[in-house]
Amino acid sequence: MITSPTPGSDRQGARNKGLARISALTLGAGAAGLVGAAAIALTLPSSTTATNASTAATTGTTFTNPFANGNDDDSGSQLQGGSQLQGGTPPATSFLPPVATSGAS
Amino acid sequence: MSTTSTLRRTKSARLHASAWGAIGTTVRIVVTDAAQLDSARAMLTDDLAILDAACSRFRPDSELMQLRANAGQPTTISPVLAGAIGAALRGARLTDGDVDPTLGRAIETLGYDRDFAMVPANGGALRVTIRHIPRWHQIELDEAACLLTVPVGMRLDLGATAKAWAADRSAERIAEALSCGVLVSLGGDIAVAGEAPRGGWSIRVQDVTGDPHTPSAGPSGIIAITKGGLATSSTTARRWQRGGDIMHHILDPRTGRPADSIWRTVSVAAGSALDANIASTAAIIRGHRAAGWLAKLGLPARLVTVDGSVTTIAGWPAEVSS
Repeated sequence: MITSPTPGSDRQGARNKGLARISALTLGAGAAGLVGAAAIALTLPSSTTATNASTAATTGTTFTNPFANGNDDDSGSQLQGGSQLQGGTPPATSFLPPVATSGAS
Repeated sequence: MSTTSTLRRTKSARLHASAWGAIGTTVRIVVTDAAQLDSARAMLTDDLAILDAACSRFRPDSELMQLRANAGQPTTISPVLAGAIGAALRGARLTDGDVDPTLGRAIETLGYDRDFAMVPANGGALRVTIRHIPRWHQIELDEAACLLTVPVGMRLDLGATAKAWAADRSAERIAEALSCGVLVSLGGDIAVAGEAPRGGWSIRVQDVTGDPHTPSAGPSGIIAITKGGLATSSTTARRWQRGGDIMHHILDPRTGRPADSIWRTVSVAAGSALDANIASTAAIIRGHRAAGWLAKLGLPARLVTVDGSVTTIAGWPAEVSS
C-alpha cells in the first residue's frame, strides 16, 4: 500500500521550508552587512589598522565606520514647518570689562 | 571652588557675579541687582541639579541612563528630559543631522565615558569599530506627553545642546522671578534675559572658557549682547589622547570620530543660547561650508582656523583685542 501525506501536512511542510529560506536569507543579508561594515576602515595618521569591536590595545587608534556617506548637502537649516535657527540682535563691540567668557570648556 | 564678586563697570552700572563648578563644567551667573544674587544662584543651582539627574550620562541613576532598560519601548519621562531631548532633536533637524544626539556609544567607545575630569589624558590605544551610528530620526518623542521611544542599542548624548538649552531656560526663569537682568553661562554657552545693563552684557570670546579677568592665551575679542544667547564650540577643550591620537568631544556623525575641521573654534550669536550652540557645533562639523551657511542664515559668527586666523561674518564686530 502506498501512503501519502495529507494535503494539510504538505502545506505545513512547504510553509516551514519557506520560512527556513527566509531566515537563511535574512541571516545572509545581516552577515553581508557586517562584512560590508568591517570593510570600510578609516585610519588616523599615526595608527595601525584593526577592525575589531570595542577596545583592545594596539599601537594606535583605528576607526571603522560603515556609515560614511559623504553627505555634502549644506541645506537642512529648515525645520519641518518652516522654522529655522533664530537670529538675534547682532553683537556690538564692547570696551567694558568682560563679565563672562565664551569658549569651550 | 566658588567665587562671588561685584564687577565694577561704571558708576551707574555694577554687575554682580557668582561662579562655581557643576554638571562637569564652569557655571557663572551675573545679575544686575546685588540683592538678588544669592537667590539667583540658588535657583540656578536647583535647576542644574534637576538637569543633572535627568540628563547626565555619567550617573547610573540618571533618567537618561535608566532609559536603556526600556529601549525600544515607549517610556514616560520627565518634562526636563523631554525638553532636553526635544532641544537635541531640534538641533538635528535644523542641521540635517550634523548635530546628532545619538553618538553616545561612539563617544563612550573613544574613551569619554565618565566625567571629563576623570578621563585619562593619555589613555591606551583603541581598536574601534563603529558598528552602528543610529540616526536621530529613529527617536520618537512626544514632548507634550513626555513620551519617548529610543531604539534598542541607541545611546543618547545630550552634551552638545543640553547646557545651552538649560542656560536659556534658567536665565528666563530667574529674570522673571527676580525682576532683574540675568546672564547665565554654562561652560561658555551664554543666555541673557531681563533688562540688560547699560552697554549690554560684555563677554570675551576665546578658545577656552575661563575667568573673564584672566587674559586669553589665544586670539580673543570682547563683544556685547543685550538679548538672546551666545555659544562657542571648540576642538581645543575636552581633548585627550588614546594611543598617541588626539581626541576631542565634537564628533562627526558621518564618521563617528572627532571632527577634522578647518575651524578650531566657532562662536555664534543667536536668538537663544540653544540656537547659537546648534549653529556653532554644526559649523565645526561643516568645515569649509560653515561660513556660507551661517551667512545665509544671518547668524553673526566668529570663526577661528586651526592656525589662529579669525574670520567674522554676518554682523559680528571686527576683532578688538582684550
